[in-house]
Amino acid sequence: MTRDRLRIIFAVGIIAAFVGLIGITYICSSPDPADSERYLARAVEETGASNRVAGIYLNYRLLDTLLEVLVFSVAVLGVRHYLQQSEGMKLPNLSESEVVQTAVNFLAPLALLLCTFFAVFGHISPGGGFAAGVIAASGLLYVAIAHGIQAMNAQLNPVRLALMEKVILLVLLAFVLAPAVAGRIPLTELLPTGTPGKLLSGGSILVYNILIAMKVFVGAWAVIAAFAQHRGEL
Amino acid sequence: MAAIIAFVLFGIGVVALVLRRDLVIKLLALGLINAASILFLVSIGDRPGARAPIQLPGDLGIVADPLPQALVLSAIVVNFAILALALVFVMILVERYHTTDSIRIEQEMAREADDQETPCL
Amino acid sequence: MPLILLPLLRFVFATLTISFARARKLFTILSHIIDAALLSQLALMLVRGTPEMVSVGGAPAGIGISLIGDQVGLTFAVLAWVLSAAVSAYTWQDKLRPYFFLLLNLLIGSCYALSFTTDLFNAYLLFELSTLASFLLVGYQRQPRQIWASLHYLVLSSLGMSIFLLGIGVVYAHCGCLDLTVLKTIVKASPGESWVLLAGALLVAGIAVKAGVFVFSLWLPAAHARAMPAVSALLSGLVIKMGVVGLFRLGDVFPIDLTLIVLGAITGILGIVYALNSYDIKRLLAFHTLSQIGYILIGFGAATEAGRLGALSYEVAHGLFKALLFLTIGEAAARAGGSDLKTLIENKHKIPRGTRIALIIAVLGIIGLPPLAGFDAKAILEDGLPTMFLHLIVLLMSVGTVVSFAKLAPVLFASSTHRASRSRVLSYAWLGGGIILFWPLSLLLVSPAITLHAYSGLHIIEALVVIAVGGALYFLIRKRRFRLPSEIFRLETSPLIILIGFFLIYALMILGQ
Repeated sequence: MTRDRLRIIFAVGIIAAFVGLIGITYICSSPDPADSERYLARAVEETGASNRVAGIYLNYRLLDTLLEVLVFSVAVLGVRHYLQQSEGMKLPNLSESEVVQTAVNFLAPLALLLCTFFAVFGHISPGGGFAAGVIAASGLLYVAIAHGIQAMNAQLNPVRLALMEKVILLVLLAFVLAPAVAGRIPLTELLPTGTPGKLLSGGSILVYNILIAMKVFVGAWAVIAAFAQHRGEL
Repeated sequence: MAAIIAFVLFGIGVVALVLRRDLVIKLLALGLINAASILFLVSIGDRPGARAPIQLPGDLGIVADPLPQALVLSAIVVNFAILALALVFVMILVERYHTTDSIRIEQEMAREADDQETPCL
Repeated sequence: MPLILLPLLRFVFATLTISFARARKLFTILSHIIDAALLSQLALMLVRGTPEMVSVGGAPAGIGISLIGDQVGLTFAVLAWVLSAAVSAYTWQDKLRPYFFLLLNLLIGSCYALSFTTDLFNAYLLFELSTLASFLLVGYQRQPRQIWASLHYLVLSSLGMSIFLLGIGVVYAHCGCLDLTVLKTIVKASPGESWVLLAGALLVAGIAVKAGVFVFSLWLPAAHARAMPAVSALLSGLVIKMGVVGLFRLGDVFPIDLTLIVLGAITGILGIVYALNSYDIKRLLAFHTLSQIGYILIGFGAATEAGRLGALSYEVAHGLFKALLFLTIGEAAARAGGSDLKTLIENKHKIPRGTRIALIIAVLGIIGLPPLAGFDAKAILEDGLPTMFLHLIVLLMSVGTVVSFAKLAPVLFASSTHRASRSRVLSYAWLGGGIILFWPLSLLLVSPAITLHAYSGLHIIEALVVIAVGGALYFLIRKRRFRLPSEIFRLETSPLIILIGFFLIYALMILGQ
């Protein structure tokens, strides 16, 4: 057998052994999902959000969400730093046919509306800030495909977007640190909990969802615009 | 059941990461590995007959475990960030070496190592 | 409150640095002063016997994320502060974009939080944040070799963290909880179960990729060697230690003592073997990082009090002299025009005097000359080793360290024609002072009884003999070069080696329970 063949067999063998070992050990140790009842027991009363998942990642584990927003911001800044300095290709301003443009003019505001819905109602129904931001960025992406990236950059000034990103991050950090001023531990709740199921419930989960939606929207759009700018077209 | 699928996907991802030479395929394999571990996490919260963990008025059925879903939200965003930046780096390398073959890039770099290495700051 | 304020304020300063770029120097000084105040408050609480424990978000312990300001965490956080000050002073005059300082501050903030956290998923996110920040810092200058090294780092780190995530899944499936303090009681109640071994092996394998263990951290020589000097200093001195603190915290919960000892021995010996063969000085330093982590792991795996304290002291000492080595070699290489040994020797008069003195102090520290930092920590560690075999391995590593650093001797003794800038001399003095004054400073961490016992004549003679033997050995093998397998450092083979390492850890855990 050739060396290459041998190498492939060796690699696949080790990986199969790894997967087999983990799989068999995990199944044989009989995981019991009934052990993990803590989070269901009193999550709704304590956080005030009828969406338990939102209650967890925006109340109990808010630090994780803050770190995740920071990771996202670093990614956006990194992409911009690297692609800003490369020479982008200069291609003419391409845009699509009228059918596409008309359809997009209808779809894009719908996407923005959905973003607002998911962000504002994130603590009552499925959704949340991250999904909302991605939806809005997709809506902008449709518009960019239809009307050309140069037109989009003329409308949405990249410098102002960068400033907006930093401001949102500062506001988020200030909100998170605000309880410290009142003498309590940061990252705890400031706003009242309210009755679960109503719009104004869940304390500051609503505020966080809106802030995160805006941040992800601006950030995802910045990444798309950076890639498109670098390539010269979308 | 979903856990087994997750492990198999993990294995396929690692096989692709090791055996394929193309850098973009390696990044896709990395994405598959991340997706497999995320699937494994979500599968833990599954109970027979469960529905989404949102409390609707008057409904007392079995509800899935919300914690793995919250963890997975963060994991997905982090993995997206890593893939985006890795892609940018692959783009820079491709612009420099005009190939996405990882072995050829390593050979080119070894050849350049004999030339003057610019001192860093 | 200082526990959660430390990382949060650092993140705030990071964001302010990129928003108000002109006030960067003011923010740097302000953040270091505030951090010093918070750290001293934590130290006072610890000394008084009531270390701070915070459950972030006010949730009951086990549901929210807990931070604990114990001795282990505080040591690593102080190291983070010292190195952050040193690197800030080193880069004071450099023309770097605000983006660089954003990454730096985020890295330091995540290191603060990693020192204190006891929640597994929080640790995962913090590791990913520090990975992102460090990989962007390594690739900051956009040279292809740096980009390749950081890509390799990212791929392996992502694989390791996915394995870690699998471990988190297994833990949650059996315990319903992710907090290490709660896990400790659960695991103690049922120690031999198969899921404990599986979860422990997955978690340790995941963290070992970041902790600088030889089999797992095959990205390290390339990434630390090719990065900018300030970045290498921070990575080798601090970020590696974050993996080590993860291993420390896991060691309290899972039965990984034998695993740590074996991994420490492997990485110690193999690191030295590869270091002997490197004539590019920065690569030599990177291999030494791998090797010195061996000391720390062996010390912690020995599970005696002196071993643990020795491991803690050694990680602080190593942080100090490895950072100083990278900073001084970095400046020397920049002046001399290259970081390989031949170029450095040819242009040795171009190295500024302050840099040269600092380099001498750092080298004396790492080879273990009494009474500097390295000797101190090693002595306490050796006191805690239970068997003669471990003692022999540690001695072998020390001799190897001396042999591989002896090749720097011609560079150290020459006259200089240049002077270093004041801010750099300040950062060298900050670190060098820590190395020289290590013994009185370490009395804050280790009780005088243990230190005085470690300062017995036996250890001093041992250290001097090691230096003499190492120097003699160097003259014997000076002209020889031997071939070592370097394919393991390539992108194709390193993921496979990580999986093989996982099998090794699993076997060791079964043996060691």
